[in-house]
Amino acid sequence: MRPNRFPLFQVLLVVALVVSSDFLMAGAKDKPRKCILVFGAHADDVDEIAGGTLARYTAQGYQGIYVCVTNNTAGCNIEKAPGDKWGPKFSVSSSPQMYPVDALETNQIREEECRQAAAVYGAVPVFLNFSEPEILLGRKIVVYGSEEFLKYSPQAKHDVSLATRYGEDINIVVELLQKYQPEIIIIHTLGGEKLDHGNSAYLMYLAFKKAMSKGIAVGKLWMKVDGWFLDDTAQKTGRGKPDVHIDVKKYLKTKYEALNKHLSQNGGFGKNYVAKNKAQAKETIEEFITVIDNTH
Amino acid sequence: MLFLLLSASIVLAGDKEKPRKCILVFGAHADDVEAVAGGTFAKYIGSGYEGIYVVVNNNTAGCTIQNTQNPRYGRGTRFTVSNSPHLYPVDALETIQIRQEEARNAAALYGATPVFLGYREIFIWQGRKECYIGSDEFHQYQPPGGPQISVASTMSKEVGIVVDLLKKYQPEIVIIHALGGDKDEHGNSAYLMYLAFTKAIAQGIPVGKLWMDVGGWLLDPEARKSGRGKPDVSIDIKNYLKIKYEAYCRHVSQKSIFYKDYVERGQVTPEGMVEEYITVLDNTK
Repeated sequence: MRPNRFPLFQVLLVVALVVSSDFLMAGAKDKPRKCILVFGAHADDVDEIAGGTLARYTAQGYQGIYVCVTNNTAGCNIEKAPGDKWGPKFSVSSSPQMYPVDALETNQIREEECRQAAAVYGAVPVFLNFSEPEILLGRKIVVYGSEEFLKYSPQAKHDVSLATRYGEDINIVVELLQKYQPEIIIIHTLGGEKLDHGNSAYLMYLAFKKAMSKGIAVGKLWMKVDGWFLDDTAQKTGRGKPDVHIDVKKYLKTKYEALNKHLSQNGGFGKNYVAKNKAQAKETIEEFITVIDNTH
Repeated sequence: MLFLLLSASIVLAGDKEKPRKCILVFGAHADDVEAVAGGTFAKYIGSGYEGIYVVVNNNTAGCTIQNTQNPRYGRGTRFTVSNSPHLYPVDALETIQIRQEEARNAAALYGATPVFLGYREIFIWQGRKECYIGSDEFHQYQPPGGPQISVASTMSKEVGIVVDLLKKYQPEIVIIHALGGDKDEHGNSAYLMYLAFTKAIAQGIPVGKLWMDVGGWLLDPEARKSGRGKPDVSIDIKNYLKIKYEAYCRHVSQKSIFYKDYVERGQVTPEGMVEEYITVLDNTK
């Protein structure tokens, strides 16, 4: 007869070890990656919302994800392209009027500017290509849902506010979170900003919640402080008081260098700002409100 | 004499006009006034306030045949044209008419004035197909109405329409959906009113307080812990539940019988007896 190589107590010990390790595994949820993702509605919004913070974290070794949510079919003015050293004086027509660039060109110009800005941070640019609710055709603004808009048919997904209703659109953002598993995500103000900004923020909020419910390793969701949060009432009650303060003094140069890549928008203003050392004290700190903290 | 005139005008200048005893609830869809603030609305009207019942959208979606009440079947939503177990939506134009009529009925129950702003809902139903704004089918259908609500918030002309509404009624209390805490048309309607309210204040229109519903991220643990999501206005509506749910029941195409049962069977939770809000702006100080 062969000797019993696994006496009962040894078997029980093995079972106990397996069970306890399972418990430990179940308790220890996956940690998010050292990654910061800034979710801007338009091409230059990442820099506006959190340029200094993105620069600071990427300098510390975080992977930076520079997201542009809409397709940018409006908001590019010829006069803003820098023609000389300091200001946006360039004009095709030499007219004092501002002439908008057409939708398709705007889309191309702003995407290119975006790529260059992301490169300043060493970040990965991501274009989600949701439809902006306005396009410029000639010098005419054409609104989403109108016949001209439909005829033009810009290549894009749904309008952002509409996207917040669609599981498939929210899932596009959930997949982004799954891919990068960011520790920090920064959005525009929920309910405190104009349409694409507020709606993009809400789209990410929905996706973040969905990601959490799926066990995707996401960390913290911060939002910019704007709109009604800045009103006296919200300041007095403390609702509008930020709880995250990032010192970006050393990263202002990177932030404004990135902003300056958006030639069609600021055309040198940001450059002046840094070159002339005109950063106000409040510019040296970027502040946010924590919407969700999934790290606890 | 000059001194008297000067001091009188200083007193007048300092004495800003007071808002009227009027409560305005700004609901995105036909039954949102009830959902956001039905009890509060009933309570204030009961104490002598004028009630303004606003429906922001044109309601081209959200009406389901099976929800239509049929007295032959008593309780429950069992009526169906086809006897099918599936839900079939009513077409866009019919939905506009049905839901507007339901809103009028509900407003009448409170003794309030209904106002329909007619902004385009982002969906319509055609047959059993959902068509969204921006699509070819939506455009061909051309439902009546103003621009989509989120687009409206960028147009000063549209914000001006809401400012005119505030100018007309000069409400002491305005209630909106949660800013940034609710689905598209809810949040965007709230933002439209927020913009109009701040513009009205800037123009010296006597508006009082802007309260918002507590929804979305404001209900999350972080907002609860930090106090950001903690309401600062609590209205006891115990004595007004009946009217709230009766008004709800006027929206026959939505929940009709469910809410009637809710009150009759005494299923209102203690939380349901209080409606709570966050003060967004207070222009009375």
